[in-house]
Amino acid sequence: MHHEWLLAGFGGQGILFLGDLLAQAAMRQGLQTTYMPTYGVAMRGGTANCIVRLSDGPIGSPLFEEPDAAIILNQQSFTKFLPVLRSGSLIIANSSMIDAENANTRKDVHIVYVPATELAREAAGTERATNMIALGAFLAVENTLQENTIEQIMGEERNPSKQKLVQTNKTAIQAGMAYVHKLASSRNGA
Amino acid sequence: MSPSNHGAAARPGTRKLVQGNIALAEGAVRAGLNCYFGYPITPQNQIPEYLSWRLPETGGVFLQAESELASINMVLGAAATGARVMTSSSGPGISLMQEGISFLAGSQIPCLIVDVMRCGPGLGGIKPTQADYYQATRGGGHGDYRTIVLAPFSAQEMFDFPMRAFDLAEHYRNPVLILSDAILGQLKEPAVLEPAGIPRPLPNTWALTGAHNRPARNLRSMYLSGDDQEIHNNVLWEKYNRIEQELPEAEQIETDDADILIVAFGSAARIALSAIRLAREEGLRVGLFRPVTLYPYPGKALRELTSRVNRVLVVEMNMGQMLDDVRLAVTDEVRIHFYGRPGGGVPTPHDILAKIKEC
Amino acid sequence: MVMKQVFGRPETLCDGATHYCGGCGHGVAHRLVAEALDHFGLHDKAVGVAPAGCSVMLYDYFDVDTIESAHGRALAVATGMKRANPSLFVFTYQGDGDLASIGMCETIHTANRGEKITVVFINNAVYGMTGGQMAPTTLPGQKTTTTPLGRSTATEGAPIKMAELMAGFDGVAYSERVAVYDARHVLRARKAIYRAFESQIHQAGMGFVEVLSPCVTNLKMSPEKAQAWVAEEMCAAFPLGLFKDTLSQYEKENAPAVEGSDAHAS
Repeated sequence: MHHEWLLAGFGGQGILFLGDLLAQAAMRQGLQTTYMPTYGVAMRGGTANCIVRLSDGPIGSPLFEEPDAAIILNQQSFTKFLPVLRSGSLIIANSSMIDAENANTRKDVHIVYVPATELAREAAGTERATNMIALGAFLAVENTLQENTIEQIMGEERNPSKQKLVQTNKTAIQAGMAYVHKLASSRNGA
Repeated sequence: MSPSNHGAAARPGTRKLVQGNIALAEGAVRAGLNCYFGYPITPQNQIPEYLSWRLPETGGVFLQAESELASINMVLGAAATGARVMTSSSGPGISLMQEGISFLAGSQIPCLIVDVMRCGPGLGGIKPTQADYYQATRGGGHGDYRTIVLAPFSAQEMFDFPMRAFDLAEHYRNPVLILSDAILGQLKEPAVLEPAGIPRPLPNTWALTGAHNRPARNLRSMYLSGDDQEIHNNVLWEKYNRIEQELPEAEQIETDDADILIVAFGSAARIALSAIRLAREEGLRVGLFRPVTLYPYPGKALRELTSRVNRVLVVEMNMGQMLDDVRLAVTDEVRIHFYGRPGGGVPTPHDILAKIKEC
Repeated sequence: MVMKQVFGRPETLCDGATHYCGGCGHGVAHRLVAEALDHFGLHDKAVGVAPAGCSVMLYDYFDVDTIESAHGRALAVATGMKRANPSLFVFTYQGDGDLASIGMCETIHTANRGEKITVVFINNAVYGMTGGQMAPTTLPGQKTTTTPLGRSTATEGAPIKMAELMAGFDGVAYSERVAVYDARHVLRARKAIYRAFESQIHQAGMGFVEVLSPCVTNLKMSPEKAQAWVAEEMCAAFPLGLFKDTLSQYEKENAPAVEGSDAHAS
């Protein structure tokens, strides 16, 4: 088992926090993992992205190569990275900021559009939980990491000033998962 | 499954997700670091930022110097008192330190210098590179000297190497350089942040502590009278000869059945491992020879290995610097191929796989 | 008849001839530093930092621990030593090229941090060891091997007045310029060096003394003429005097309680 996940958005959307969280969860589940903030022009111009790898064996290169799953939170990153994702990739795309109608030029990838920013506002009361909505959606369709591993890590936050944020994040993850489950059941029902 | 990614196969303890730079800084603290002097430069800033609060917790000294020139000379002064002292920098900063490193080597003052390489020449950029290999392994500054150079390739080794570095530095009374890079510095991965041993500073017979109940001491690199300078240099070279006998170290991965050998260190070795996995999936038997000490270079072990595996691919994130040491190590029968990317470029596993197929 | 020795070699000054030229001011300055080391009982805890320059070999002349430093970096080395081991008494002994040219960055930052270090700065208006090139303190019009027509302030700037400059830093507790061209001034120089030592001993801040000193060889003058040149030409460009003394204030504020005034005394 070896996964290479891309997390991308613009600065302030919590991309690096998300990557760190996924790598911690992987470690918690006994996997090998690496987290690498991506270098290059992507660091500038307001975009942020990172690569998280998970494996049941030692990991060689921690760098971007050919991701097999992605969480993408803005249009710029979506346009940039869609062409380089591996065939069969799962993509959670933030349709609050990505034009879903005209976006997909590839038929060999599986894109789940989630209006993460809007959902964050509605369910968690803050756009800052966009990353956690997307994470919930991701966990609903990608089974390597368990939701309760993530919640366990969040539950270990001892800083009182961040306790409230933890609850917000948990709410957002649940909302993201619920959205995808609802999407799936409505599709199944159709 | 090993408890940690690379370098700590049998290591007991709790795994923590840690950035390479932080692992190195904490590793230095756990190695008994007394003083840190440094000047900000990307991509190593996490090291001074971390030590600025961590070191005072252990009673140590953190000081942000006015320049890398000042940093390395503060290191020299502090280390001359017998303390465990380090600095860290990158590219241009390490270049500025070279005069000081030459003085440290000439005066035989032990210390730790960390180079988190960024690409050059000149200001270059913050992308990873291994282009400071020559500078690190050939002395770097003026005069005929060497620094011991260790090349980590995982967060675990970033944590473990400062302890080794200080022990070696004191044992040989010589500066030790840890040659890291922007990938290893910024990478986060699990590591056990508990040292394998305890710091064992050697009883000091040379440090400047005040001439109390002993004759006054002097630390210097300059010997003006008669043949004294040559005598001094011969003392240094006897030491380097000892180091070359005693220290060379390399890791071999999947070399037992290998037909082709990749020689790579640090980040390039990590990427090479991915390439080896791809190659083996295609039935190509490829192994990795990873130098852990870059000076002294583990040439003898490479020579022995290449008497059996005579197709070699050297992979570096530079245009062929370690390649020289490989050429010096192996016999003429060995076919050496090279794949390098200059500063600003990083090889991918598929790039390396393509080169493997050309071997 | 009882004989009493009234003059001798300070204990921390090694016996033997120095490599300095006859008439050079380093010999006197060395002696004054050694007298201060003796006076304050610092043999066991002093470390001297030698610069690159004529005084690079001071380790042969002082019977205390010493270290060599790269050109201009003496104060960085001294900072490292003092930070690593604050119980040491650390002094640097630097020339004008070392302290005021190549090492200016270290000089002002060390002063700005208020490192508890004593600095003895020998200003002889020329690069001595390398053969008489222009120094940052070379006088306007002064001929050197790199200013054959004399230093032009239009193209080479004016001599840098270090004692005044150092006085501007909060971290400097004491800054004085002295000269060693006659007995009266040598005595004053000794007092200044003692005060620069006390700045460190009392943890008040950096102690700085600039010593105007003749370089007979590169001035191409007899010792007598070189002394006169320091007295007339150098002292005109570099006024002698005390430019900073927060040490005295510090001593007043931190003076030990007078015996009997302690309420707990029995």
